[in-house]
Amino acid sequence: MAVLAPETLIQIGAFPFTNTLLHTLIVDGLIITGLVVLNKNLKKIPGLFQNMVEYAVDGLYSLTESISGKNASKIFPWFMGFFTFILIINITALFPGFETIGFHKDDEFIPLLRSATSDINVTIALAIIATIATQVLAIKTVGIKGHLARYFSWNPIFLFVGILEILSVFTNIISLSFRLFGNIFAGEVVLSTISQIFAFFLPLPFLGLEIIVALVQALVFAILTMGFMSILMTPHHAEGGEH
Amino acid sequence: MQDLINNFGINGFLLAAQIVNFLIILYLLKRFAFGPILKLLQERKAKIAESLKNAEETEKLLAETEEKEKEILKKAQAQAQEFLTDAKKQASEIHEAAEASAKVTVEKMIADANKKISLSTDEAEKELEKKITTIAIGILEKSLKGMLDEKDQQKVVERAMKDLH
Repeated sequence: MAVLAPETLIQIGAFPFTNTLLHTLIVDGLIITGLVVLNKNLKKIPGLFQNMVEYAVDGLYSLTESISGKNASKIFPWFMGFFTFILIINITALFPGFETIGFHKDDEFIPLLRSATSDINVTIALAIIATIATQVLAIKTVGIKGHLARYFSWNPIFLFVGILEILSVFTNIISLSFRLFGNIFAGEVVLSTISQIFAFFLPLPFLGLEIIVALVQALVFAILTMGFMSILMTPHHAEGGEH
Repeated sequence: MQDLINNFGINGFLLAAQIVNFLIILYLLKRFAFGPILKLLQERKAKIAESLKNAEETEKLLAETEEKEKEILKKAQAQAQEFLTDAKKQASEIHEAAEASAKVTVEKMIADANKKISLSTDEAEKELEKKITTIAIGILEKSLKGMLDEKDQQKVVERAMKDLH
């Protein structure tokens, strides 16, 4: 049953079209539909959908502002983008049909849909984007010289700290991607295992738990990214002075 | 390492596809969701602040107007009171004057009447006197006729007339 790698639906040349990619495309479609609906009815006096979106945007923008202060307007699109994308993936992956509807190929069951965040390719892709965006934003804000001063110094102690910081950039990619992947994949394994024990009512509490995990993991990924951005966008000396 | 990559199904194409996919979605979200909504929220916030300010100003104006109204009313009342007092005073003055003039007129009339009465009484007295004198002289002349000569008669009448007057 539980396989770490996503299952390939169709092999197009060297490109494997996987069930996780199909889910990603469905989520893209949902988001774009939502955007079209939102922009069609964008009004001064909001309707229900606009009100919900406004509530989320307003609340999360204040959160961003409380953490990153004056850099909020630059960080917010990234934060909100990661949050929205991961949350919709996680929540839609809990719908019935995921991991259960599929076909047999060479005596092997291949589900048609699988949660995109249970594919390490997706989480690594997100983590790489987050890390590169963090570096770019940091260089844009504090300048290339100020940014490099964070990693390189003539002072041996700070040089050592700098090397650790460089290392942390790469461990961040790993920790961000594996945290998200691990949580969602584990959730899927738990749900399928429980469903195999008894398919009625028994999975319900676990399903509720998975809804919370879906929300929390989306928030964790987004907030950690926001935190890294906020730290790296603060000049090195100012940050040092605070300690 | 190769085993790890194979086990997890890490694939360069998939990775690239997902990166491109997310960047597109992020751009769309920023362009069509967060951007306009943040702008809208800010506009609404500004509008609410403006409306509140306007409401405050209106309230202030209202309070001012009320105060002015009160003041004007007070003034009007005071003026009315003054007018009333004046009118009362004037009325009483007129009343007094009328009374005084009436008194004077009446007194004058009474005096006139008195005078007239006394005048007519005097006249009547005088006439009576004259008449009495005439009668008396007549009686005297009649009674003296034949008793005295004409010269004495004349003398007596003259004396009597002199005495009577």
